[in-house]
Amino acid sequence: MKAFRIVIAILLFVIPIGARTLWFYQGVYQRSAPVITPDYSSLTVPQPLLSTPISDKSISYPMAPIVLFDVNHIDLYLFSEIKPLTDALSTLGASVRITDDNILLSEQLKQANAYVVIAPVVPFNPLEVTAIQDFVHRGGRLLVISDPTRNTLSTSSTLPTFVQPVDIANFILEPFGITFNNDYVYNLVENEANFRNIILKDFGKHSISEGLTEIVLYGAHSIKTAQTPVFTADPDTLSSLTDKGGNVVLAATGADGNVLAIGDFSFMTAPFIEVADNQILVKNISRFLLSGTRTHDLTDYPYLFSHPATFLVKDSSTSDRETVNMMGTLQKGLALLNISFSIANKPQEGKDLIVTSTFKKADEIKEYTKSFNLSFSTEPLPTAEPEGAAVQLSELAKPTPTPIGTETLFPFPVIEPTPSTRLVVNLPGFGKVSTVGTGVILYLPSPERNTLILFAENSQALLEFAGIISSGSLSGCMIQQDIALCPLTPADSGSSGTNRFP
Amino acid sequence: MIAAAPSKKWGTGALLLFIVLPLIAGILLSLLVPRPIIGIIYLNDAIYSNTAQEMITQIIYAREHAEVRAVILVLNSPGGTVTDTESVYMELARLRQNKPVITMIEGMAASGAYYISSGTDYILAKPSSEVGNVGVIGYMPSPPTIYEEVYSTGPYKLWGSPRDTFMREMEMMKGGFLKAVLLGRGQALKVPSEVVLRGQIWPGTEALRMGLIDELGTQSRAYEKAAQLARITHAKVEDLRTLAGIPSIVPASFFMLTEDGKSTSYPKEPGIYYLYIPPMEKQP
Repeated sequence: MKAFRIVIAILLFVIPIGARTLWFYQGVYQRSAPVITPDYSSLTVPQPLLSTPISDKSISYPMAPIVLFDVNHIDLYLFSEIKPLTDALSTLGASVRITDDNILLSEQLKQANAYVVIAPVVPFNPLEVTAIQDFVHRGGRLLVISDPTRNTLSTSSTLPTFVQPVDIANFILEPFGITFNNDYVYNLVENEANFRNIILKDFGKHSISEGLTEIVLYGAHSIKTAQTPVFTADPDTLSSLTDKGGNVVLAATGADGNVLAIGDFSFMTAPFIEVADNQILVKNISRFLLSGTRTHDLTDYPYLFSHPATFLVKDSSTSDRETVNMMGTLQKGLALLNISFSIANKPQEGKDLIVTSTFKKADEIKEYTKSFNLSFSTEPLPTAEPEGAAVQLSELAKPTPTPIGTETLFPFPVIEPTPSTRLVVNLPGFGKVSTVGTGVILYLPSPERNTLILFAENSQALLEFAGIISSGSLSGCMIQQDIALCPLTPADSGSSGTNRFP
Repeated sequence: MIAAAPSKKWGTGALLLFIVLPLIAGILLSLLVPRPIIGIIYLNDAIYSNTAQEMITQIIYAREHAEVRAVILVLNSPGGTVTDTESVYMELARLRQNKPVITMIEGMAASGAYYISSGTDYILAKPSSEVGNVGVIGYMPSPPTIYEEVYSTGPYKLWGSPRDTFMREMEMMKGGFLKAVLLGRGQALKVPSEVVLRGQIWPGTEALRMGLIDELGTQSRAYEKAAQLARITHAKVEDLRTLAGIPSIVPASFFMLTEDGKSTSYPKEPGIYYLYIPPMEKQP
């Protein structure tokens, strides 16, 4: 009986505890699987494949080719950042210049062999675009780099706001069939430490990709081009515009290989220049910039010489006072353009040539002028023309039809005009031009040497002419490709050319 | 007759001794069996030193108090600093050894907040909650230089590390983030790592399809789920902040402030973050 009571007591004691426990707890929590966290100690910092600096043999030229870097369009780079490229260019003998805001771009491009534009944010004006196109069409090399990480930053607001400069770069690239896409490319499968750092291993056959096995671009725009691309990314590289890959182009050429567009700038800056074959790529770019076949015509004056200039003095001729004066004037003028000047009786190897002659002695230098198809004739002196007036350039610009059979054409030798006639020169593209009060410049470029030929009525006029061209500008002259006509003081006007150009 | 029989049998003393006293003692002692608590940890800010420390205090409280049988993280956060996120994540891992932890995503669990979520046992979100943004973000430090007035004993004493090391360390941290997601979600994750690492923010509905969360639901559903996992019923839902006695202090803002005192989405201090930073405004 007592035991029964004890059991009852225990039960009554336990039941409330058990009931409350069961009311709240239906079992004991046990994890089905252990908690696993990342093994942080196994995580490592990815390191790139570094390359050692490449040394190139220095090259020097008699006149260093000029590579002009644009800084007039708020280009978002520091000159110190392009040191790997400028060093490579200097090693190859180039002279690196930056644009001058006070001089028209077209004037600056006259002397340049290559023009480099990096991440501009101020638009190019139509005149500049035309000048660039003209530059490229005459063999100048154009490198345009845009980079999605190079954006303009507005300080007008507390929060920074971005504007993409691709449109500005495209403004100069579109005429050559190349445009940057307003995107960035990325690769989540294989990259160099970050999804936006693209590893490239497949290269088109192009001098830019010579010697490359792997390069890395650090944040790049893709490029739209109908021409053969230089760099194409693998299918895992996607454009942020579409999040799709395949044929993502990151560098392309246009205009017969004279234009190179690259969608990244960072790869050529420290420390990324040292990754993979990026150094080789920069070397290749520098070679690209210097390997153009830059052709000049007289619109590029005074930047026509690529070597020191030689003034041709024929053994048969005697230098008079005017000739000596003219040579001195030319020497002084060319020195200002950093062109050394010497005298020789025949063309010198590795030197450009300046040849002068009066129209009457044109046959003495016909070996230099034959490609211009000059011909001379005489015609009666016009009665209405004011005495001594120079030929108006506006008239000269209109080709004068030469009636066949009405006069005698004689290429060489030049026939002396009679007192009632005057000597006229028939210039292709210009028609007939009076030799009185007119100077003619012929420019004959060739791989061996560039030749500048000056014609004037007499030695006085040649001296005046030398003064004009020594001024470094042909602004008063009518220029058509390789021929220019300049107004001079006519011999019988009573004024002396030496007074104008002492 | 029937009622009188026991009293005759037991007597008053025996009744008290064997019936009433044990019952009262049992009832009183049963009150010592604690009502289970589902502790709530709210995070309505970025994860940085202040908020992380508060969360850790609450996690430790939950771990050390037996009555707290489950914890629910109620998140509305864009993430925060890497270190603070990892601190919270690792404390949660210790808590989870013994107690289930549920995540309830309210407005947003982006970046570091999702990192923390991935280390919980079950994730609920609203259909339009913003989920994901897996990855690391940071501002590149300035290029190393030297100053006339500042002397240090090594090239990176002042700058910490070379600039590109910063980028590479971020990649390493991204690897840690990804591993946390892969380990946390396990078989539930239905998309490859490349997709997760896109850094995209998905709405709750899409996050469910991808396996980044387990269910679309409300806080009350989170309570049910927590109770179910912890095998408890009739639990109290308590704010662990109150239980842990964390004072309500308005901390200094983690984010940059505008001139008129409004908070932006950009952290005040440069660094590496598991943080969602909304796109910058377009220039007018």
